[in-house]
Amino acid sequence: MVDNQMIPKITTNRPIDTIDVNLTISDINYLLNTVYPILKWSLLIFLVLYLIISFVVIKQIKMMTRTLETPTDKYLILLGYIHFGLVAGVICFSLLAL
Amino acid sequence: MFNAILKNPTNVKFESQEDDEIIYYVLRRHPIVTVWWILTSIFFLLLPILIYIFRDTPIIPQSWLLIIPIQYWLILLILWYMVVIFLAFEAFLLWYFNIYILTDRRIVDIDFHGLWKKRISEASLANVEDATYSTDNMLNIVFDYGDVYIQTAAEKPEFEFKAIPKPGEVHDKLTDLAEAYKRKYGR
Repeated sequence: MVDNQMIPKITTNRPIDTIDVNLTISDINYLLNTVYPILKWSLLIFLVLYLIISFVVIKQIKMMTRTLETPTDKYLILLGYIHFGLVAGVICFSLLAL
Repeated sequence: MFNAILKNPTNVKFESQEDDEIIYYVLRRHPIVTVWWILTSIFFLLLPILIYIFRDTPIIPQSWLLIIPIQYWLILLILWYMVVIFLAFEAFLLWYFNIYILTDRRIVDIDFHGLWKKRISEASLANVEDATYSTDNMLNIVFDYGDVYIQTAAEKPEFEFKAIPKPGEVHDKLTDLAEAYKRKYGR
């Protein structure tokens, strides 16, 4: 394997133009071994924190609707649960895709 | 239900409301003061589209986007929209539940800050000493909203009904109710 060899161009799947990226093999290794894992774990940690916050939001909505009862209460609580479900779904998707 | 001023609402109830207590007004901030977060949310919702439009320009070189694999972009994009919608929803909740209530026997100020801070202040109409209202700028006049300041002899000396619609009408009703209450029950 030749290290630091210049790869002149990366061709996209678009038919006409090409894009100059000029990545070396060491750049690619750096991306694969350092940048992507950091990005992946940062995303997952952020998502888990976000999941906790979305759970707190459900509690917050329930507290708010106890303080002031209006006809829209059940819809707001439902939105809170949908939000929580979406975050959980994105976490599952991230675990599979990343 | 999403009005900033509800007169004599029958389907609204607050936590410490007594069975025979009548609510005259439920007040929120005028919708015009919510415009900043609506516009900010719209801008942030459009931001990925702007990035897509300018992806081949010197502002956002395409090479930056290509370095990150597509599945990362997809998750970042989903996350971006979820966070923006969540922040907009949170701002809506704070607008919707931060209210001022005027009943036949007291004024109530319900405040929520952030995710878990809650403060409820109330004062009997018997303790209302003075009420003033002000409209300070052009928007106040155009959209008919302003602040009502209520001096009380209660534990919280001043209540501020900030940026409420029809401050003159609310002020009028409040002073009438306070006078009637004092005439009926004394201080």
